[in-house]
Amino acid sequence: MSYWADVIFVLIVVLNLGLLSSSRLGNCIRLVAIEGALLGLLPLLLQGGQPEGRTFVFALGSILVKGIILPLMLNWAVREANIFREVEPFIGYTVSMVIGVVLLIVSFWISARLVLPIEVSRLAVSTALFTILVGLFLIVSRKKAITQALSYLVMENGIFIFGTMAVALETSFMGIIIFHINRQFEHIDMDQLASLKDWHGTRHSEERT
Amino acid sequence: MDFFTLTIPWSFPGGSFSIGLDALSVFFLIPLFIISSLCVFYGWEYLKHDTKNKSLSVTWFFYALLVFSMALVFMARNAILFLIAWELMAVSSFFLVMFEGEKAETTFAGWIYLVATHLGTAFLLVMFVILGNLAGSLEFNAFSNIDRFNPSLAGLIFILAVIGFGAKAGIVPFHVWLPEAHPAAPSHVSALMSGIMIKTGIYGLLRILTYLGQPPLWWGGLLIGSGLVSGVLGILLALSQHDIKRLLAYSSVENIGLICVGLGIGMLGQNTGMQTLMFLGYAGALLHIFNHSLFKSLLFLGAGAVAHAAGTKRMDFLGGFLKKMPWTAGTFLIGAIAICGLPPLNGFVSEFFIYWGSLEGLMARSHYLVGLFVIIIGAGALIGGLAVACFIKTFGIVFLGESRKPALKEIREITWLMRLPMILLAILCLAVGICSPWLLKMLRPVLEIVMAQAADDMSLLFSKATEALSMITNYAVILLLLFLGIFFLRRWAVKNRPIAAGETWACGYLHPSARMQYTASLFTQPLTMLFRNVLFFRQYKVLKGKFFPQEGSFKSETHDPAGYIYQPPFILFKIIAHRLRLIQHGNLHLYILYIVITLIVLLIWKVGFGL
Amino acid sequence: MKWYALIHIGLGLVGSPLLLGIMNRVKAFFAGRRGPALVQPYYDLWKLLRKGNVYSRTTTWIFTTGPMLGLAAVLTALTLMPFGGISALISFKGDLILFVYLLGITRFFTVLAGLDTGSSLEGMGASREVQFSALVEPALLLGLTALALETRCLSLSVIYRQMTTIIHPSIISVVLLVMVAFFFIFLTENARIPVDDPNTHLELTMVHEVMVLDHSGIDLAIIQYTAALKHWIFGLLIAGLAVPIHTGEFWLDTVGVLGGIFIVAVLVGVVESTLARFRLIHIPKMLVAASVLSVLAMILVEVSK
Repeated sequence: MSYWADVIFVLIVVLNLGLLSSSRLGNCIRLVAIEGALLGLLPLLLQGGQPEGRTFVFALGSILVKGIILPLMLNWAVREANIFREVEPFIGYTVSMVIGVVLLIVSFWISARLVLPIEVSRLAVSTALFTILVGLFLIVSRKKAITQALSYLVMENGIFIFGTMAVALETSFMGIIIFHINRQFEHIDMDQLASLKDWHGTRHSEERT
Repeated sequence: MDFFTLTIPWSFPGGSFSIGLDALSVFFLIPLFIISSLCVFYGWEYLKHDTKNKSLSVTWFFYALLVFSMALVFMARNAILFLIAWELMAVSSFFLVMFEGEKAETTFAGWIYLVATHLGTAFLLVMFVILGNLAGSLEFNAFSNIDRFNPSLAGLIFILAVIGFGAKAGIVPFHVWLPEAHPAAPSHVSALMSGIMIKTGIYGLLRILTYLGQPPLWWGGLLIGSGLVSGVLGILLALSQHDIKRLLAYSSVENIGLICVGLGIGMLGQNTGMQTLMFLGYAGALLHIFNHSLFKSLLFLGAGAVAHAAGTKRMDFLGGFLKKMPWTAGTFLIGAIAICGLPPLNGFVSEFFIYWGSLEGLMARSHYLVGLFVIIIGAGALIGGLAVACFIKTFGIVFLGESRKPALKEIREITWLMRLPMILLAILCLAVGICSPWLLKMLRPVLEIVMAQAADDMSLLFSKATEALSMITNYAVILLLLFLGIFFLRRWAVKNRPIAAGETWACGYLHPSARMQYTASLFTQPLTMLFRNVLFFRQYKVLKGKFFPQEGSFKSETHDPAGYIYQPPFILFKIIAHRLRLIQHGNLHLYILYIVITLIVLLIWKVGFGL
Repeated sequence: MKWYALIHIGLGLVGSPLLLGIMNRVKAFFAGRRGPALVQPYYDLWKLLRKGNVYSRTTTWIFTTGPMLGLAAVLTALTLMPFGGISALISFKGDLILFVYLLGITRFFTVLAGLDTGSSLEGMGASREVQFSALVEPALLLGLTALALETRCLSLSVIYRQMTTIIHPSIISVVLLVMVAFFFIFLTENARIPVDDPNTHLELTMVHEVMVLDHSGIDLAIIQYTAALKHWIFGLLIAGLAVPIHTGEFWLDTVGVLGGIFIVAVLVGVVESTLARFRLIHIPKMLVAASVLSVLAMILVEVSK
């Protein structure tokens, strides 16, 4: 059973690396959605044996919110603002991928050093750390607001993994992150988003020539 | 140890004229003599056209002095003798580089070279002083008898050796003189310098290592790190050059990097006790030293022939030389295949050992070591791929296609005197590639010296390596046989077919002109753009006319990042020197006053404080 | 020397053009056409062999020797390639390095022959090809290194034999990652969409095709056959990992791996039909991704030790 969990963790790592190298916003949102959905399955797998009723509900809820509802919201925002690609980021895509590998090695190294009270799979801890680091890296290196929101989601995914080992943290973190995302979009009402569009629109046409 | 020694008493304090021959010295002397003698034939013909008002006897005097001093460096068994030979080597090569001293860029190159080599020698001086203090004498024998080393002192000696010898070998960031000096010298001198002179740095490093005992982990790591940086940076910079000889100079930097990686792997093996690793690393490095001297000299001689015939070194003006200089092209192609490390030539054998060593290193216990070896394999493969790109570009742009500028003067194949050395070197490359198992056998005594610490059972390692090498030779033979088979099959198949000649079709582009061909910088543009952050790549475009293009120009250049490191200290030095110029005012009286004051001060010091 | 490996080499020599036929057929299926016959590549090769040649006056002996050397190198590489779990003709420790470099020879001479024509189009293809190969080599070597790290062996035949005997779920992720990396490399080395379009003749999209524009007759036949053999070799690299059967029965294993190669060909056809060619600046990203996947596989191997 834990093999499947390991496969999920590897998939998460691959998805994160893909996120680092992707310039299309639609792609990024899809990747984060798949990540969220996969992580929703995680508690079911880790329960082992008889999964309890509330675990089912929780998993279903996570998959619904992270895999369907949030991406829909983000896609709507993307379409409204009419931006489909990331503007040239501070750190190029190929370099980001290489930095991602470095972050991965760092997270594995840290997880080897950490002394944890509970018995956990080393792969899980490393993946969690890596996801959080990727989220932080994305905040630092990307310019668009949407990508910033996505990186919050990614960080939340990372914390979620930690959370499956200590469930209580999870709901509170989820709440905090959703609150932050809300705040990001709160004071940007549609008109201002549209003016963002104009600015990004002209940048775009500059890029195309 | 030494199977031949000669000691002549000398009144130099601390120094003695003691030379010796052991396997390590002989290993370096062989390529020295091969290449220097071949280059004499080449140079004789090459310089004949440059007689004008220059006296050839002067330059040949310095040539002989250079060869003599290098031989002395390899044979010296006393630190003072070593340093004297080292200095002699530097000075004679400086004069050789300045052969065309009337050109501004040659003088610039010469000065940079002189400053760089003396800075390196300063570090060597300090290093020998420390070693001498520890051993009580400046004899190499005494050095090898030092039993226990204070680890931090050993570390200091190692660092000084790496900097001092690395400056001569061309390890990044001490390589900045290489791309200036090597192109400026006449080609037979460049071949000698790139082929052997930079290897004296490696020889010195090896020699000091044999005295220092068991290397700690970080030494190997340091060599591997600087080796990989030299390798990648060297080949990237080589890719972006327009001038053939500069390209070859940067490629030398890359190969020295590979040699250092091999040495580092050997040292790691020595430290961790992994015998195979130690053997493969050192053997790979030593083989690469030998191989590189062969094919790099070959390439420089070829480049010199082309530059000589065409009157320019800029690749963007050349093209189509294969038809006019078939022998030069053929030997240059062999050199290019060898330097890319492709089987069945010699370059593959040394790279094979280094890769094999890294693969063996993967079986190590420590995760860090495994990670390091993965990095070596990845970076090594990248270096190999970029080297292929670089030399395809060089050979393709210079020898293939059509001439990009109408012939500046009639291009003729060079004379047999210049051709023979290149042909001989090409044959040697092929021979070493195919006869590598026997070469390995001859390498045994050298390895025994270098691995002196822990050569427990060499026979097992040797047999495994020889087995692999004979497999490679088998494969080389299979490859050649297959090629011949296909060749004759094709001959037979094409017998009665119509064969016509025409213009290049290229999917229907009529009348391509020679100027429309790809240029050197354009060929590597995808790669230089990919790595543009490392290369400080700059493009200058002048495009006039909106709807109807008019005359325009384009220039691209890359700058060596290491050059930027040296600018601040040298600018500071310039400012200080400028201030100090005040002392040199030309007033005779004041000079005499300086002397008198100094004498009086010395007298007081001696008498007053009893020195 | 394992003599029964000669059967596999024979299979490769005969069956490699069939892979091209399969890919074309799959693409035609997606396009709603009937498509060429599966054995069409054989007819094409036969036609080319019987034609005469036209040589450009700019070209030299490199133009004719290049393809021949390339073919010789690929044939030599074929003798090193194990067929799934069954050993190759000759194998020795470290032969994977020789393998990678033999493919390097092919690339070297194909590109050089392209530059020989002195055309700017072919120079363009050569420069792009050379850029991709510079990035493919580390990816390929790192992928093989990942396998070597997992099985702790240094010979291709031994690695693949070990891979088929260790069918443990814990290494599934490692195998999958390396397979995906090899798939990217397959697409690049064999000039398939999304890296290069083998059917195009537009300057915008040509990389490999454009280098061989001036070759005709038997030279073109040699080049196309070399390409087919490369398809076969890289297909073997992937199929050998994907088909973890080692029943010990020679013919059963052979058929299994053959099936694997054909499935790889079908998969490539599907990929070619559903994707568009990537923009040229995105292809280095894909190749770096292949290396990164191999590194990830190696990290997983190290973690599970």
